[in-house]
Amino acid sequence: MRELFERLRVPLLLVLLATLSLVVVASDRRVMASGAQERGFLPGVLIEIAAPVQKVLSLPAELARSGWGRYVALQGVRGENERLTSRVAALEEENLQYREALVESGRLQRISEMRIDFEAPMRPAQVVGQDVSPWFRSVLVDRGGTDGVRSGMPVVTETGVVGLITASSPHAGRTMLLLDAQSAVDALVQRSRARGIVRGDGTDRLSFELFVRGDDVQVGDIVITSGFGGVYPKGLRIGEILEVQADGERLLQRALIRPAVDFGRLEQVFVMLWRGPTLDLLYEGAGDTPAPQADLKPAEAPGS
Amino acid sequence: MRAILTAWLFTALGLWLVGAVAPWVPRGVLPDPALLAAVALGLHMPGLRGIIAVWGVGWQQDFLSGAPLGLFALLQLLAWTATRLGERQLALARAVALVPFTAALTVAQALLVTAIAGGPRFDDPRTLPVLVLHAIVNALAVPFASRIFGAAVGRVDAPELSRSGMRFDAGAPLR
Repeated sequence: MRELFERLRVPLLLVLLATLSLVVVASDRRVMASGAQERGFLPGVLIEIAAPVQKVLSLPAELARSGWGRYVALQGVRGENERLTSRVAALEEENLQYREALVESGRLQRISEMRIDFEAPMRPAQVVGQDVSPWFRSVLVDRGGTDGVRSGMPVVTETGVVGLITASSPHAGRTMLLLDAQSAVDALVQRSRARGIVRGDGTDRLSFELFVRGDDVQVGDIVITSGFGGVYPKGLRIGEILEVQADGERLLQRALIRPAVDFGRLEQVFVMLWRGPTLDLLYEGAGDTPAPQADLKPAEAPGS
Repeated sequence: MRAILTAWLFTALGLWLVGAVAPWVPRGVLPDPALLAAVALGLHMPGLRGIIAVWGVGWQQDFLSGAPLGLFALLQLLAWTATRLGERQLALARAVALVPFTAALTVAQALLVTAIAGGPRFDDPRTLPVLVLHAIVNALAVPFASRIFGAAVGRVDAPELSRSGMRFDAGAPLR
């Protein structure tokens, strides 16, 4: 009996660990499929460990990138720069909201009462880790639950949308980039209001699938979040139309988008402390603590 | 235990290097340190130690990527198993067999990532060049990775093995 166990212990352990891995994958996939949730205990512990480890591991690269002076001589300037960049990002987003309000008031005045606008505080965060697999596009940021960062919160820079927090632990957050193949955002062309879905496909470009074939889309048009998906607030810049693909066989019209954010140079990002109604509903059902509602305030409807 | 820790340390260093350089180079250009470690461990670390080591290697990759947790732990276990199975049949100790084997393993992993996690979309023409490049880079890097792992694990293992060997062969004449 003992001899049999000795002979089978390697395959047995192999099967056991493979099964355990598969169970964790299945559990994690369910979590991600629901839009994003706080991690369970074990994955939460793992991501919590990963953040400081990655922060330490990426320190030499960060040092090389930023230079010694950034850490010593320019410490004060850096802090001020971060504060100002944060302020600029907030003002730019505010500006975009106002521009959106102008467009809305001109064309959609009759339904302006349906429009809910808001202001949300932003939490600056450092990117501490890049994805090591070429098949996934994500980054790890050094802000988590203790900073009010929760899964489902949008991540932006001063130039546009970065992605969505898909997992968070007390001190870290995993951000799925717009480029990831699992990412999809309801979006519209700012000029013509043509609507569609912006998808990542793992490359450095985004794919824009328009709902209505023949919609008015031109190269150079700005694409913004529509707010309809209930995940991202309306009016965040996604990118610029790079190419319109006229494929006669396709039911949907497609376009390629150059993202507004330079994903190859992500260092500092801003987590919007806001979570869309769709995700909030999901979390309510899951018994999750809701996003900081005090930070949300419905805006006045344009013209009212 | 020291050999396992050494394997994890080497993998961590490799992943760090890849993570640090990744933003500056096109995708697919960098090798997959965890896959290389899994293959090298398959060649140099059989048995329970190998399984535990490669499982840890997979978890390291899971921590550092946006994949669903456990995915790479599973995939690297499979890569280790495939290497163990193929070691004798394909004579993987020789580079001429190891190189195409690793390229095939890279493709198989990408297919499994797509099947399990919806990873690379193979209907997109831009995916194939990345995959081919990644497979070639992994294949070219694996002989070096195997040699480095073999030397490191062998060096760490030597005192451990000599101690256990003496204990086990206490009554037998030393050869």
